[in-house]
Amino acid sequence: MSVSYSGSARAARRMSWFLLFLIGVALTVTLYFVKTHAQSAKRDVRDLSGAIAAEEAAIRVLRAELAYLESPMRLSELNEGHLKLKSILPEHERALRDIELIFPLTAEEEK
Amino acid sequence: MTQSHTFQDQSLLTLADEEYRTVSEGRIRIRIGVVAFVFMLLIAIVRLAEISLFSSDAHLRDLPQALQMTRADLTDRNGELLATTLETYSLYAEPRRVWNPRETAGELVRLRPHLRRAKLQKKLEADRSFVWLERGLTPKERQAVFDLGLPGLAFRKEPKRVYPRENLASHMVGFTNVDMHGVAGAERAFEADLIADNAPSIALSLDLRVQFALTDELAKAREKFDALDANGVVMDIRTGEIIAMASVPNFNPNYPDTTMPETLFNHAAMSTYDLGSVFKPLTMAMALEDGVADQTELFQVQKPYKVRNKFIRDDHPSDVPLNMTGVLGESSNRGTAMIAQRIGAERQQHHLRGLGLLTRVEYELFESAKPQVQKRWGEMATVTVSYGHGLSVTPLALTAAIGGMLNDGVYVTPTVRKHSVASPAVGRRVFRSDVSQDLVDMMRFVVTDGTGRKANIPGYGVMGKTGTAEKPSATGGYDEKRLVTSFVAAFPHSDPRYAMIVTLDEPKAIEGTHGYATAGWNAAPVAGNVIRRIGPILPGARDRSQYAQAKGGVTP
Repeated sequence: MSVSYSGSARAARRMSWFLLFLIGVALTVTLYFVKTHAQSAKRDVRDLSGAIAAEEAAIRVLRAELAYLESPMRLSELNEGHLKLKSILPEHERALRDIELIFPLTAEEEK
Repeated sequence: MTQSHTFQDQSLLTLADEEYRTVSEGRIRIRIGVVAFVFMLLIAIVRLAEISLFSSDAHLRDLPQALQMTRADLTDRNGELLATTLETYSLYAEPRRVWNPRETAGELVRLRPHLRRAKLQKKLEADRSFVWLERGLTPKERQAVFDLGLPGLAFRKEPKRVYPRENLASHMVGFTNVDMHGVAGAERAFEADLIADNAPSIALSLDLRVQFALTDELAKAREKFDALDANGVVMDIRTGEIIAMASVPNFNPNYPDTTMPETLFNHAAMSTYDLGSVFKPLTMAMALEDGVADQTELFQVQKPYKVRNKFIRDDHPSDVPLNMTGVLGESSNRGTAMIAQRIGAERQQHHLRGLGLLTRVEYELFESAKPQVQKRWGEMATVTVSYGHGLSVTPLALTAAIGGMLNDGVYVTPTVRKHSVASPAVGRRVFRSDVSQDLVDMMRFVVTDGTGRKANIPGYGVMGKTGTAEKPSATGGYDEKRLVTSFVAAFPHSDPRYAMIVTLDEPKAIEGTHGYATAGWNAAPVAGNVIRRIGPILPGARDRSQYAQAKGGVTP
């Protein structure tokens, strides 16, 4: 059984299909751009992650080198060879609260 | 007429059928087109959804390999780096692509003399597609091998654990194997925390400056007294934090495979010794806690004393009776034996268990030896254990026990992790506060007037006790010539916060010790030297009452 359409209905139907087609094309183009953008962003992220990893690796190397250079054993040997500095010993330090006891005020100063 | 009408009708019917078929075909095509379009639309929508919703972790797959293979750093309590992970180059060969294995091996050995030529050549001649030749090369070393231009050799970037402080704190930090798995020390104990994703660095309890001072003094003492080994521990008795723990000889954790096996041994936590008289303060505390003796009572130590037909010997017997402080100050075995008999075996074991001396130290590291306990704990064992014979414990275990006794009587389990304010240390009471205060004063007396005078560093109110023990002889009994000397100390006297121990294994008498190799002549001065160096560094180490006493005419 055939279905007959009136002229205006047929035109509306054709327009609908056309619009649907346009939407499909638009979506396809959008998808293309989204995908391209996503891939580009992904690449940027990868590059940045690589750069961050490289920087972090360099920082780790520098920290390790600094730790080695500042090692007490190494500094002690260098000091003995060159500077001959001495450690701070108990007799070199005084607590603030002990100053009055160590250096008591004279009767004149107390006045 | 009828015929023509029929024909006309038939023609109309045929035309109608053809039009219907054409329209039907058109509809089918349109439907197929719609289905195809909708299908494509669905694909687009699904893809969009996948990109926007479900690919949040896709970028992780693109991260460089090194980031995924990292291992968190270890630092000391002040953030000083102890262990980190660096990228290194590992040299491998594809033997099938090596032109001349013999020549290649020769060239490599010329550049890397520690490699064995025969072994290398055998690897290069193997019928394999891949063999490791050497791992962990620095960029400079890699370039040197690269410059040889040998075919079939290549490099792979690999992470490597590096210990910039080398031998310092090597026993506590430990090391990893070539596959970056922790096999000793903190590296092994904190394996799970170190390899977790985005794991932060772990701060250990140790202070590198204190560790250096302790290690340096122990190394000097070992050389000076010609000891087999020397070890020591410094501990914060309030938090249980191990501020320093050293054992010399030590090793470089960057090259654990090439070190002597005996240097890997952390004697402070893995060796058990009969530590001798350093146990006596614990016996005094037990007696005061149980109320079986008091400080006013005099013990007849000037007379020979027998337990189960065996004489208890004092190296320097007193001429007069001594009270408890005197017994400790003169380190009298007889006086301690008399007190121990009153405590009895059962209560003695109860107290020792509470002080953690009958089990291994339950701290994070796997390096912790079990004490050697006598199977038969009779009266004689009670007496000998009271002055540190017949019960072998680690120096770390004894430090923690003495710390618990002096920390207002509260024992805190040692830890190698930096104490967090958010999680305060939990302790258990082992002695009453008044007992703890009595022992604080008695151990101070040992340093001011007793056997530990060489550890008396002005300003720090050092408390302590010497201990000299003979090592078991191979033929049974004890060997008088092979000694283990210890000095257990704590400071400051006004508010005890730090406990420490120094132990020397088989020290020898030297010029200046008048033929003695006892703790008062070697371990005590070494402990004094350590306190002299670390006192100004440690917070809360200075004694509050020292200058007040000095003003009042009492020499500190």
